[in-house]
Parts: sequence; C-alpha cells; structure tokens
Amino acid sequence: MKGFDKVLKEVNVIVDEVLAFDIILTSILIFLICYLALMLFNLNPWYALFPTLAYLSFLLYVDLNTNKYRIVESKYTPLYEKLRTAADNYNNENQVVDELENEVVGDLRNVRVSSFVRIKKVSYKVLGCIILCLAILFASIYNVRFGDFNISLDKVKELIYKEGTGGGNETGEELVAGSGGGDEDIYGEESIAKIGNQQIEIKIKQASLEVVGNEVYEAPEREFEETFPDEIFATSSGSYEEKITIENQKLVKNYFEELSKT
Amino acid sequence: MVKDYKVVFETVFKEVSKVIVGQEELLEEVMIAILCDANALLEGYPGLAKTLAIKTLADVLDLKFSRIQNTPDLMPSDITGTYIITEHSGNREFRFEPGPVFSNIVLADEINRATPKSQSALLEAMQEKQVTVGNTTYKLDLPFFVLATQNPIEQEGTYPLPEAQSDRFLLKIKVTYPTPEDEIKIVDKYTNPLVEQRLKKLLNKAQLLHLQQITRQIPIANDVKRRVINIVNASRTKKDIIQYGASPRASIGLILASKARALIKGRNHVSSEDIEAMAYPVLRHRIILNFEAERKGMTTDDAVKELLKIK
Repeated sequence: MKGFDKVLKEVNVIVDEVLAFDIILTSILIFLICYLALMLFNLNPWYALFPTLAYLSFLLYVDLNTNKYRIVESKYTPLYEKLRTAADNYNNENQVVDELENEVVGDLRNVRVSSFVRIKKVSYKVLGCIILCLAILFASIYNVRFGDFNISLDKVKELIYKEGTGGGNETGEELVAGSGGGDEDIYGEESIAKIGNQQIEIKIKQASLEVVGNEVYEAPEREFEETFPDEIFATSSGSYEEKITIENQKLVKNYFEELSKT
Repeated sequence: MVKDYKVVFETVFKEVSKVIVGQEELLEEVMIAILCDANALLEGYPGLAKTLAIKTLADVLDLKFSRIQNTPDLMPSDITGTYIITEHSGNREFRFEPGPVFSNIVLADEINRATPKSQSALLEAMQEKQVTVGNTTYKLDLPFFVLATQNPIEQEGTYPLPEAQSDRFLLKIKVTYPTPEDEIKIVDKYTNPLVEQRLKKLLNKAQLLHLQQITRQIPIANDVKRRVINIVNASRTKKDIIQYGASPRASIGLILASKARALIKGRNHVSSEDIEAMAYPVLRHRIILNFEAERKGMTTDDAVKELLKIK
C-alpha cells in the first residue's frame, strides 16, 4: 500500500508528542519536589536540576526503546499485533500485506489521540506542580527551614577533606586534627601531635626578665576619653537624695561623725 | 480476502465432518501441513479414524490418494515402483511401473513397522518431491504430502524413525480419543443403516497450490519471529530437562505452520496465539528429554509448555 510509511511516521510523531508531554510534566514535578526539599534543608535549590536531568535522560532512553506501536495497540484491541506486523512488513508487497495495511489504516481511524492522555494522571501531576509551586513560594516568604544543612554539609566536607588528606601531608591544617585534646593541654595528646610519623619537637623558651637600660623611656601620657556605652547613663546626685529618706541620711551622717571622733 | 479463505476452510471441514465425527484438531493440523507443503506424522491408537480422515480430506481436496501399509518385509521398490518387462508388438522392453508414492497424498500407515531401508525410500520423496529408481529420477506430481501414522503401543518388532527422518515431518499430530458425545454420534453413524455420503470436491490441485503461495505471504511481526527463535534456541540450552533440542528446521516449521494456521483462521497476520498452538506439533518430535525429565514422568509436551513460558 502506497503511503503506509507516512501513516507509520504519523503514528510515531503523535505517540512521541504524547510521551514527551508526559515526560516533561513528570520532570517538572520531580524538579519542584527536589527544589522544595533542598530549599527546606537550606541547600542550594538549583541542585534539583541534577536529579531532574538524570530522570529526564532515563525516561528519554526508555521512550526511545519503547515500541510505539505496542502503545497504540494497547489503546485499541482490534489492532493487537496487526500494527506491529504491518509496520515490520511494509516493505513487502503482496496482496496479504496490502490487505493488512488497509485494515490497519481503517482501525487507526478509530484510535483517538486523547486516549493516549490519561486525564486523571495528568490532572494529578498538574495539581501536584501547582501545590509545589505554592509551597515553594510560602517557604520563601516565611523563610521556612527544617535545618541548616548547608553548615552541616560544610562540616561534612571539612571532615572528608581532612580524612582524605591525612597521612604524609605537610599542611598545617593537620595539626588542627590532632589538637582536639581539650583545654588542659594546649599541645594535645602526644600521639596526636605528629606529622606523619615524625614527632614534633617543641621547645619553649623561658620568658626573659632582663631590662636593657638604654631602652627605658618615660611612660607615654595617654588621654582616656570617658566614653560609655549607651546603656550606661549618669544620674544627678539630687536624685539620690530624693530617694534616701532623711532618717537614713541622718543615721549615716552620725555614723561617720562617730567614726571620725574615734 | 483472507477472511474469504476462512470460509473456504470452514466449508472443507464441514464437508469432511459428514464422514468424520470430531477430530477437528487432527483435520486442522493435517490441513496446515498441506498448506505448508510439508509432511505430517500422526500418532494415535488404532481405530481413531486416522486413515479415514486422510482419505476423506483427499477426496474433498480432489487429490490422488494412496496408502502404504508398512510391514517389516516391505521393500523400497514397493514404495517407489519398479521396472517391469512388458511385451509390446513382439518386443520386450522395461517399463517403469510407478509405486504408491506417485500420488498427491501418501498415507504411510504404521511407518515404524517398516525397515529403515524402506523408511528411507520415502525420504527423497518427502524432501525433494522426486523419486530416483535406477538411474532415472521421476518428479512427483504436486502437491505431494506424506502423512505417516504410528502406533504409540506395540513397540515390539518396530523400527523407530531415525531422528533425521522424523525431523522431516513438519508436524507430529497426536490423535486423541473422541469425546463421549462424539463417540455417541460415531456409534449412531456406523450402526444405523448406512447412508452413502457423496462428498463434494471443494478444492483442486491448482487452488491448493495457490493457497500454499498465500500461506507464505502471511506477514509476521519481528518480535513474534524473535520469540519463535528464542523458543527453539531455549530447547537447545534448557539442559535441565532436554537432552537434544530442535534444529533451525523447527524455527522454519513453526513460523510456516503458524502462517498456515493464521490463514485457516482468516487472519492476515501471524499472532502469538498461532505460535503457541503450533509449538506442540512442531516441537514434540524434535526434542529428546533427558533421563531426569523422563524419570519425573515428563512428556515432550510438558517440555514445550516450559519453553512457551519464554516471552
């Protein structure tokens, strides 16, 4: 049958379009989920592109290896195995194949493009996308975070880096790893304070108390400004007087007079 | 067009059913062998109307039918024919007297009773559609089919078909007992006053040859074809139950038989259903079970069932 290859091409294009729509929608959904999760844990949300791209490439690979004719056949049972057979044999020209091709073309007219779109599934996905977009918006506005994983990640990175460079590296950072001994000993444990296999030799010089006569000068005069923090303010003595009762004032006065006499 | 052929086959089977009660599967599989231009081996107990079914089918298809009753003393020349001296106008000359193999349908009854020498006399006819006697080769009239029968019991004094020869039969058809309902009809038919059945000749040689060409034109999808190859390949690799697997001739036979079945069913393409139905008659005589499988009481049909699990 002439033009059957065009029919097959059209079938492929339509199925590809439908599959591409579904793949893109699913990828957007995956991106939004990952974006939201990363944002909530205070990680760079653009890292969501990596799982999305991985998923997208996986789906594209699966899609490329899927027999499109099987998908069409599954939507219209009278086409079962017929479409595949006609597609595989369209180069053979004989009356039986021609008859089959005509039959397939007739059956294909009964297949609606809308039958490939699962309305319920697509609706759920679109709804999911909308909900996730709103969630991302609210999380941004109200600064919702479940933990600062960015810092934790830095720590993890630091630890990995240190462990990764351990043994034979001459950087001074290694000393940090060995100095976690506590406050009582600033050099840490002897076993830790090592560079590679060599023990660090540390000598502490005694503090010198000798004074060089030539280098003795007058102490420089310094002017100190009375600058106080804002929280500290002065109050008048009068205010104190107001607060101390006269009886108490007299009592204190008498006390000091008695004291001066003795 | 292909749907019209379905009507033709239904009419043929209906006509045969005037004589043969039941045995639809046998008739369908014999017709498949005829459409594939191949030979079939019928295995069943005596008295199941094997010979009658083939003869009736030959009548309906307007084919020349001959029957060879195989016995241990059967000579190859009894099958192929021989030169005899004839006297014509006072002159004596050798004239070739064709044997029963010079027919369209040859029924080799109880083929396993003939000696291997006589069995092999059929080989050339089955494969090459020709017979060589002395230095002369005679072409057989087409279409030509050998339908051989063998009895699964009474194995004493028999010569089981060599593997090479059994492989030349496209199908091994199991002839089963009729159902009780069919048996009642058979009893009624042959115990009541006999009514002579005049069978219509519904097809002729030329039409049959055309149908054979149409059979080969039935298309098959690549994945269905791949499944056939996988099934046949698995028969060679499934060593846990099968000692010897099927040859590539089995792959060819399975696809061809499936095409013929599709034509009979009025389908213009081969479906997985055809493959699954034809796998049993095509493979059952081509695989040899190992000792372990036989010990478990497995049959070759069980092994084919296992193989069909491959998708």
